[in-house]
Amino acid sequence: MKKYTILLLSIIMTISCDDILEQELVGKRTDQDYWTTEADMVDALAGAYGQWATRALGMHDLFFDNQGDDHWRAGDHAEDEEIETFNTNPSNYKLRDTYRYKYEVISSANGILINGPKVKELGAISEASYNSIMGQAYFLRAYAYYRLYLVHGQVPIITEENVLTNEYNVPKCESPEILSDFILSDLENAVALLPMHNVPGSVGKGAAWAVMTSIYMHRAEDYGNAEFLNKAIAAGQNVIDNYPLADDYLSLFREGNQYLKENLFIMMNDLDWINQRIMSKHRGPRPWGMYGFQEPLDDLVNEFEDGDVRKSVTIISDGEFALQGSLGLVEHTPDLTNTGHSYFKYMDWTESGTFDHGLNIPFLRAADTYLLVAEAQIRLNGAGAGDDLINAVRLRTGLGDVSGADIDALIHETRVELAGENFRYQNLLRWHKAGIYDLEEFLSRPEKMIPSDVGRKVWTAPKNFYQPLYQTDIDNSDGVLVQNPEWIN
Amino acid sequence: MEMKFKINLRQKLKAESLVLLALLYAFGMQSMLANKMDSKKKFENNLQFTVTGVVNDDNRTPLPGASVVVKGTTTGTVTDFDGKYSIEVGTDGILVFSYLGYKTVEVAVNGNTNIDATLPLDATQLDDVVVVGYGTQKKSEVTSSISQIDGEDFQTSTASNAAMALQGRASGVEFVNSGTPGSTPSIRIRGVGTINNSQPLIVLDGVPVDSNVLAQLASSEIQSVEILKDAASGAIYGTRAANGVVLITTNNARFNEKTTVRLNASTGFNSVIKKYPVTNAEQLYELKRERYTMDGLPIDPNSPWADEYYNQTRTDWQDEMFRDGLFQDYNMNISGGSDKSTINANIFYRDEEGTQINTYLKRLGISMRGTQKISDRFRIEENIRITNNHTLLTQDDGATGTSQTIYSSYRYMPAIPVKYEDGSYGSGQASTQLGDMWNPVYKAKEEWRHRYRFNTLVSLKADYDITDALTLTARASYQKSTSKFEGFQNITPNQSRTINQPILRINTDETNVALGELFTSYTKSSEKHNIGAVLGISGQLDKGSYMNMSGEGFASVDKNQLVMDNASVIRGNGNDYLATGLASAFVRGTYAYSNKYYLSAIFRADGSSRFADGNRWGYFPSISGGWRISNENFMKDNPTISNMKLNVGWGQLGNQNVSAFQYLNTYNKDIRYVLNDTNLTGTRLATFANPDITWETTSALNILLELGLFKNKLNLDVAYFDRLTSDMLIPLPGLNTAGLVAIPDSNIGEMRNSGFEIEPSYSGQVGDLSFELGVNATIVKNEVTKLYGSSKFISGGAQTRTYEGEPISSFYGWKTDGIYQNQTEIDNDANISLDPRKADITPGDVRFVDTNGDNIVDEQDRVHIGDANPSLLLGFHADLNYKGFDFSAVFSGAFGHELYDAMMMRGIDPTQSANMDAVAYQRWTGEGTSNKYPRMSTIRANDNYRVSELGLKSGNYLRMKDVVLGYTIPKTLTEQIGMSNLKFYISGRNLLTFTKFDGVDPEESGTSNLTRGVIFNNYPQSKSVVLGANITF
Repeated sequence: MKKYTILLLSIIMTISCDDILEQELVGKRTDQDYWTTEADMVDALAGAYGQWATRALGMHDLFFDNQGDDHWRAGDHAEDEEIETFNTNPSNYKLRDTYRYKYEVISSANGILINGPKVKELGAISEASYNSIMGQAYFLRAYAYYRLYLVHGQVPIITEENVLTNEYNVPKCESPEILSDFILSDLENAVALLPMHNVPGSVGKGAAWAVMTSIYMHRAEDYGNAEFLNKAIAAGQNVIDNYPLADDYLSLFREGNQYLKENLFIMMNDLDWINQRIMSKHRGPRPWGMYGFQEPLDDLVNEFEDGDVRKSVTIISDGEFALQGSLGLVEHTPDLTNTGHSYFKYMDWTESGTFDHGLNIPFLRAADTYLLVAEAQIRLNGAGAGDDLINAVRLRTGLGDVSGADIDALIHETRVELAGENFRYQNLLRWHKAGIYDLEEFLSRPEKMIPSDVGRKVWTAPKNFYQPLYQTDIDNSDGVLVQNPEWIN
Repeated sequence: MEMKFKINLRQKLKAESLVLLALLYAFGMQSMLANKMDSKKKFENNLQFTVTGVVNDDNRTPLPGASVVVKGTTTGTVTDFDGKYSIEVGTDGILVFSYLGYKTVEVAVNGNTNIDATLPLDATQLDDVVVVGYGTQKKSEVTSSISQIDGEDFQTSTASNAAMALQGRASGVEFVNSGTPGSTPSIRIRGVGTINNSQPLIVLDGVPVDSNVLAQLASSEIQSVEILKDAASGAIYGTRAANGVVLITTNNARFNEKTTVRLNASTGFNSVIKKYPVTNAEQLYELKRERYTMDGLPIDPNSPWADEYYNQTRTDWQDEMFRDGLFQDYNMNISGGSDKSTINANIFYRDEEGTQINTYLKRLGISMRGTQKISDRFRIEENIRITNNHTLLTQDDGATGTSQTIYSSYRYMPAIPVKYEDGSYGSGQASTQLGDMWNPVYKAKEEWRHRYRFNTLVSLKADYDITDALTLTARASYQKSTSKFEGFQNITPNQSRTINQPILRINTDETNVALGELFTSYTKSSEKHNIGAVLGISGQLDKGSYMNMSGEGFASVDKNQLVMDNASVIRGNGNDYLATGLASAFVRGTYAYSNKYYLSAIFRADGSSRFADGNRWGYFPSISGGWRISNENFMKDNPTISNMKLNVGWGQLGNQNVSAFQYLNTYNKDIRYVLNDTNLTGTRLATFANPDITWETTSALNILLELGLFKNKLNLDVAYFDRLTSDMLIPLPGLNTAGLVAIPDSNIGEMRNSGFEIEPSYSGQVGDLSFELGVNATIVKNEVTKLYGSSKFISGGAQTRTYEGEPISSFYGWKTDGIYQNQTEIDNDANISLDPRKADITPGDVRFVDTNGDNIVDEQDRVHIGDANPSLLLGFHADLNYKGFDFSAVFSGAFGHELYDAMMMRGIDPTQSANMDAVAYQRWTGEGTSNKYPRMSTIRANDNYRVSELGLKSGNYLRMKDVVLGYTIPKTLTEQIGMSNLKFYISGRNLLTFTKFDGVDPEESGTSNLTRGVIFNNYPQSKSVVLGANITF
């Protein structure tokens, strides 16, 4: 019998405790072996870019633009109604993801900024690649904070130091200005490191200059604030000098747009690989394959001058036709929308007639910077000072030149050029601060909303300069994070 | 050979366990030496000679494990598997034969060398054998809280699996059920022991298994279920036992057992327990329009609420989606044994239609157990199980979102027809106000989601009797579970969200578990002393992987053509699961003196690869003692108290059921992007590291008083327990400033569950009627005693929070005080006198209470508004037998807790684009019309539907889980047609519910311990009625 026992014993003993307890990490990597090759840095960079396609900018950030007068929310989400009527409840979950995913980009960028130098020390990456990746990390972190700056004003600033000390529960910065200064310093670093033109899908210096220009314009709170308007002109001039506008307005929004120099920062997408629906599918009629949010108002449609090619690129209205691949021309009919209009900028179909949600979406275009500089010139030097830049933008529109354009003409141009690109409400806030509009009156006009919202959209300052912070973040901070002024749950 | 064993162990085990092993070994050696010295002494006595024989019961069935003792000495032995014994005794000695549950018999030797004994059943004895992990123990000697449920008790239950059938049958054990066909219930033993995974360890025939195996067991296979509820018993499973251990023993054959064939066939219907009351189209139309008129707004001319079409009910979606589901269940058991080997086989098949249309569960299983006697001292046992569960569902398993068919079955617009006149499916595409839902009948009929779960378990066990008292056991087992999901969605142009391309999803998943164990068992009994010991080592390794694929664009959607090869685009991802290993050594010693004093001690050392080197090893001791007061002289012939035993035990247990490798930070590679026209998969930091992470420890005290009155006709068990979980793993507050990076848990929390179990039972006989009635009541108090050391909390989503000093998962929100009936009430309300939103509040809005007295209702006013933890669990069972008839009923209930009806809160909110709850029709429409349900409005300024007392409901319920009425045809008749037994029965499940809860099901609960009691859109349980027959040949 002993032989059986010994046999059994030896079977059991082949599984030794050491073998059992020393399990390897499989399918994932850790700091012990990550950050050793250039590919590690490139992958981390792709990870930071990739979040923009999900929810970092995604549809939730775009919903804050419903507070403007270009479109109404449409769709079926009760929480959108709160936002559009300036009553965002701090528990509204739309506040959560867009905030969290931006910090995810910041986390990824911080990871590169902390660990990139280790890869360089190992000699595993060329100087040019290293500088480009580090510059992009600075830019991506800056852009995430830039969106948070616009939406919330003040947020906690998480830098490399916070990551190294594992401290994420920090108060929001003391003022929006401090946040913008932090962003500007990241952008200076980005400009120093980035090439002028980068590979498709990556940002060059131009993107950093464009964000700088925008921040200076937001900082120029008085109409004629020379300090910041001049800074905006200086930063924006770099874009104007190096980044020509595309000849064809439509091409900016269709396949291949990543190769256009005007598109300074673009969210890559396609049907086969990235295949993200979040950005590209939420606007447009459901029967056409989209989700039915954000329908343009007549007020925006009427802003377009007759003959402006940008109208048909931007908006499709009842009675107009869309070429839907093999389905041919399909009419936009009144049963599709409440307002009779849909945004067309991000709508395309494959040859087989299915909706193509794989278009690359531009986040920053040089035309925006051209118009910001033009605005700064007009505000500093009066009507006509921005004519050249406005006319550069109008070149591809089928419209004639303007001359002696004043601030109203500039605002008109900005509205139609950038319609549906998530700029309108932020611009309105700037123009309110600069004394050009009184939003309390302007945004209560009946034409600025759908009929059933009349009387319900009540804009108040300073509350509606910013969105509230998400209640759970405040709760979880145990008193460290404080709500924005005048917002209560 | 013993030396080799010792040396091998030394080489293999970590240093931490060496001291322990040396002790264990010394203990074992000492026992063996004592045994050998005993024999030597006997050998010197020339008057001694050997007596052999067989011990049988009344039915001439051999009794293995019966005790044979020479009266007045310490010499004794136990019978082997065939009831045989061999003992040396003097010619004038007396042999005392005893076996628990049987009367003790004394036989004078008188020079006979062969003495067979027959032990009659002792009806007054409550004794039995209890499975305790790595062996069995006499019930009378158990000094800890172990619930034992006899498999016979639920052979005729209609529950779709064995786990569900356990509900209501044991104190301290709570079940949370889902109605999804093929799902496993959550089991909580003596309260929720941790905020993390609180499922007990499931051990099937000695092999730890995943809890989904519970859903693969047929009730008929089960011989007994033992639930180790305290640390004194559970410590033998160390770091996995903190939430209790459920030991399941399947049926097995005995040596020399006549081959029998048992058949059980049953068929019946499942149906929903209740229909959920929702508004019809006319009511909804009125309510939706009213929200504009109440706000003084024109009715949105583009909305359906300006279109009379939507003012007509066309469909009752619950009638369309739910049905009486037919089910059939067949079991066959073949069992028998020769003197050398036994075989027991079960084949079971169940075909159960779900209560939702186009859903089903089909389960086919085979299990086989056999034993071979290689020699008198060497036995081998095999256990093989193969089961296949195949489910068809209309939504992904476990999904709860509003796009799921369970939700749309309740909430889809009643004005929309199932199909239009042209044959196309009704759709809400016309307006976003009709909801982001799909026609549920379309989803149920035109899409499919199959899941195939295939489990195999192979276990081999070898027992070698080194001496009569010492047995060496080796066990090796291997489990492989594979799961395959196949889901299909066709091109869907006309539902709210369209699908452009047919999509086929195939996800596969496999896990492998290898287990090796070696242990020795020692038992020695004499007239006064009973000694038992187990010592052993164990190693377990878990590995697995998954792969998910989806294909789009199929030229043909014929089911036979839906394979990945035919897709035009294929996407996929997959990874290995993190492998985990567990290495352990354990020892248990039991001692009983004179059937009065009992002692038991356990020590287990567990090393887990989930934690970093240095934090891996945990040590789990337990000690318990018992005193049978009724056997003391002063109580011996007490006319009332026939049995009285007091047990006290304490021990420590662990919970290592947390994600592995949290001691490292990890990067995931799962973000797709394109840079420079090159497809890249980006990486992201997925988790931070906590190098100090280790297991959770539960220290538990148990005091158990067993009382038997009137010759044990009335029994009463009363237990007090106090479980303190320390080093509880707490997730640090989720700060979104860390992005998506998961913050690892930290061992900082403490939680306490204390309470009582009271279990009276009475068995009696009146003429031909014999009956047994039993109640089990459990009072549990749960308290989180430490979280972060400050006022911080863990959020369980919008509705629940877990705070220090409060029970886990308290409901957290605003208090309410009715509805504002008129403007004067608003003007004069101190709650909102300084509230900036005061101007937006109108009559008909909910009056929220300003609890902090700052005259503003804001987030500072949120307080605990309810507790989801039942303070009383109640079970009740009655078994009656009258001649050939038998009747049994089992009730289960929970009391003293609240549920938060998030389903209703959504259903009374008119800004949600879905059909509403019927109670919404009782809304406020003017002064005095309602003080509970707010007005219809499009304005959310007052946010009437925020988490508040409005959604809180009492969760009390009592439900008849099982009821069975059976009739056994008299044997005189059945034997004539060649059957030894024939029984017909009618059985029902969930037929009666007593509750004031007006939602779908009071037994439903949140998806995790931290969201407990939040009712939202789960698959409802069903009720069933069954007709069945049991046949034995």
